[in-house]
Amino acid sequence: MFRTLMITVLSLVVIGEAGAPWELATASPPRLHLIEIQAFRFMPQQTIVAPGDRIRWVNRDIVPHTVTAEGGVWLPRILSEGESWEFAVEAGGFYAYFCEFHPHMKGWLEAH
Amino acid sequence: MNTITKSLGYLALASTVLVGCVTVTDPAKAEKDKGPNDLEIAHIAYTAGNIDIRYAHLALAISENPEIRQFAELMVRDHTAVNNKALALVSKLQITPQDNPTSQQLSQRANDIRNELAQLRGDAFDKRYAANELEYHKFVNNAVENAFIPNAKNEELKSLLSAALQTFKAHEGHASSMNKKVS
Ligand SMILES: [Cu+2]
Repeated sequence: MFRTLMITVLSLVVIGEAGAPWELATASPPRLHLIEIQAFRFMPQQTIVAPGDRIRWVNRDIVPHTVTAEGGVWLPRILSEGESWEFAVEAGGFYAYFCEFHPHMKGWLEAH
Repeated sequence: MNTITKSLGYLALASTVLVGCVTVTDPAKAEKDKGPNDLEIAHIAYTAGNIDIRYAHLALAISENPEIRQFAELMVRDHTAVNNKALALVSKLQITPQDNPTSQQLSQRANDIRNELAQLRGDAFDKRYAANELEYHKFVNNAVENAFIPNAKNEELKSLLSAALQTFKAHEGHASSMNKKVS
């Protein structure tokens, strides 16, 4: 544990000396989150993200589904089998979405 | 009484599907070939999907109820997707689905129901359509789950049937809530 910490500290020092901005060491880079539509469910149903992260939905079912935001935060997308779509979360908040074709399919993103 | 007769209709059909529709000459072979073969399964499954697409088109022509219309659009969209997958598999495997007595009975019965539905308007149509969709999906799901998937030999056909079953079960759930709304 102590050893790992030492290595981390040392490498930060090295980055620092190389002139990289210190912010890079503390703020995590944007991540890509995969949400699979499978068996008429969004999986995972709940995804915790940070503002700036990207979400990719992929339809693994054989029938088309939609990714539709409550309140029209993004334009609804229809995904046929194998298709995917990405959305970048810009601001923190709670984003609920569902499938228009099969409205029992619901999911949400929590950005903070 | 009417409803009971109709349920019996599907029940009689269900026993045909479950027991199978292979004409058997050799008794030893009979033991092995109790259920439908892959070519028959493909034919029945495709026919069953087409039947529901045709019910849906009738509903879109007659019904003004938004719930019913939305459901019918879903049936057209999903069953078309599933049947297109089936066609793609059929052409990939270079097989010809085989017509059989079950497919014929299914089509015959669907013709009768379509004729009956076509006479109805308004609430009477909506209720009958909704009831038939629930009953039909229950019947098809039973056949797919207990006859087609266990009997299918080709792995790709088996996995397509499993994906189709998920879809049809979702439809059964929708049909069930649609029935509560229109009754
Ligand atoms: Cu859907």
